Amino acid sequence: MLEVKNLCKNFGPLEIICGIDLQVAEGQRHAIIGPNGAGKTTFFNLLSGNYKPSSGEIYFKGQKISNLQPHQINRLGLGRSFQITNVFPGLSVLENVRSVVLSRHGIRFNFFRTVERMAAINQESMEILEQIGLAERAGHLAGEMAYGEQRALEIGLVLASNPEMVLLDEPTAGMSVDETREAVKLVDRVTQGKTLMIIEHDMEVVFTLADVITVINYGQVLASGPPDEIRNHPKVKEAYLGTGASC
Amino acid sequence: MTRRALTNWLLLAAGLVVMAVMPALVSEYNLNMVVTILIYSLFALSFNILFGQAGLLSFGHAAYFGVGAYTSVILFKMAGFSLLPGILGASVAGGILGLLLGIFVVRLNGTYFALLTLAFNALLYAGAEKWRGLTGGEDGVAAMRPDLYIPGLGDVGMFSTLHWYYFVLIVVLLSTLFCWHFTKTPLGRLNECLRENEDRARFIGYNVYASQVVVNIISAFFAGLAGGLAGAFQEFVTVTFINLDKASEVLIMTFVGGSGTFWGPILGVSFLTYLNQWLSDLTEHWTLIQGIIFVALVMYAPQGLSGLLISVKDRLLGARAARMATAKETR
Repeated sequence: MLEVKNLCKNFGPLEIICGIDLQVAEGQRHAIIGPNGAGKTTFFNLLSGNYKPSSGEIYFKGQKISNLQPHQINRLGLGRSFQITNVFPGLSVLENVRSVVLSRHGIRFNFFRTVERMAAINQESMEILEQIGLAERAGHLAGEMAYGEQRALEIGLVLASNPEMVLLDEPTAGMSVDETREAVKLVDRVTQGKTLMIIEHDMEVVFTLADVITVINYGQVLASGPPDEIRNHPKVKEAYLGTGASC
Repeated sequence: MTRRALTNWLLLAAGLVVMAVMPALVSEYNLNMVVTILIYSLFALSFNILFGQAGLLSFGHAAYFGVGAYTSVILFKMAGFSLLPGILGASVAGGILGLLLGIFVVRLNGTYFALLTLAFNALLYAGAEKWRGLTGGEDGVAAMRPDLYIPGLGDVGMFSTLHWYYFVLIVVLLSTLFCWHFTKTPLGRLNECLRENEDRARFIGYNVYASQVVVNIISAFFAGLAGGLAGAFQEFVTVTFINLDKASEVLIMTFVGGSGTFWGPILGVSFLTYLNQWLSDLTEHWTLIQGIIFVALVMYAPQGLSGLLISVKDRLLGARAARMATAKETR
């Protein structure tokens, strides 16, 4: 599904990602872990087209995507969420999701028909709100909702474009223990049947969700494999788990 | 139909009736003021498609207005166009300019967008001043307002203020209707998504750049239309139609009315035009008073007059509704 070849990214003399090779099979649930500043989010920004790689290539479904724009990558079926909530705060929850549904159906430049009359679009948007548990909040302004709800909407925006592969950047960031548990359930439920790649700090979350874990440190892959193998990997213990209180 | 929707429809219907019988209510002098309000309302609405809806502050919207005005007057004078084709030509010229400038300006955001639109407007102003063969420079171009040709009815004279008023009213109403409708369409909604969070829009499959160019064309089309009407109204066009004063005029009128609502710009234009007329009878320092009003609004009511009206209405009528909403939330 996804193949990353010798990916590098530097900002001036600063090398953030240096030589990542990675493969994600279809249907895999892949977690990316690593200490703060390891380059995880930069890696996502490269995959989703936000940054252009300094060198190396990214292939999605066999097609090279490392030279494409974010909207083109999204249209191919690769959707991403953001670590810092990134919704449309001044619009209603329904409109947030509907804007994605419209885009997915290719209704992007239409300025003749009103959105209200597009019954199928509105129904589909409401279904997504049901899935993320925000149906009752449809008319509220996204920016005025509780933090946990905004995080759910953040995932809903990814979901609404019905991607084959989902990149989630710390969906539980800043959440309480209870909220995290709910969020993990949500992620698990809505990503069934999709390929998932998730950045996460919470080890409990990682070991619950993932069937492959890749550890990144200093912009390089330290180790990659099934959870049990990673848990007992000496280098990983030393670099990350051993010092992490979250484990 | 909800009570609120019913109230809105009744208000709209009442407004239309007032507009329809306006010539019977006011003197010819004041009817000309109403025509001015109509034309500048359309100009401000087109400006607000960028400013209020897209979040793009243009300091150069007079470029489209001015090019529209020059186009209509020059088409009347040199090509012998009748009224409607001339006005349509003005809108198309505005739209084409919207495409040409849009390609460059929408690449940028915020301050840089504002500065680049300002620069382009200044450039076109200089062009209008220097290209005397076409524009007459500072002397301008004059052309009589031609008749309106209606198939089946023949020519309708536009010399009469009454005929001209109804013509402008219909053109502005239809355009306003379209602009209102636009806010409800996928592109119109996307326009507001881009204001809220341009960056996220990229990651849900939107080509932000292309969308903003199209929106710029639509906005420029209606600014050109307003300019075409203004040229036909004055039967004369000169560099004051395209200078930076004109660009700031539409900005101030929109701001005073409030950019956050669809009808705010219309309110701002009506208020300031009427105020100017009234004050200029009393004192020659009316621009000073206008300036004070502008500064006061920027400082104390940045949502403009429409924002003020809404908050007053909410306070008077909405107290009960707000209590109900809170009860619902805590339930």
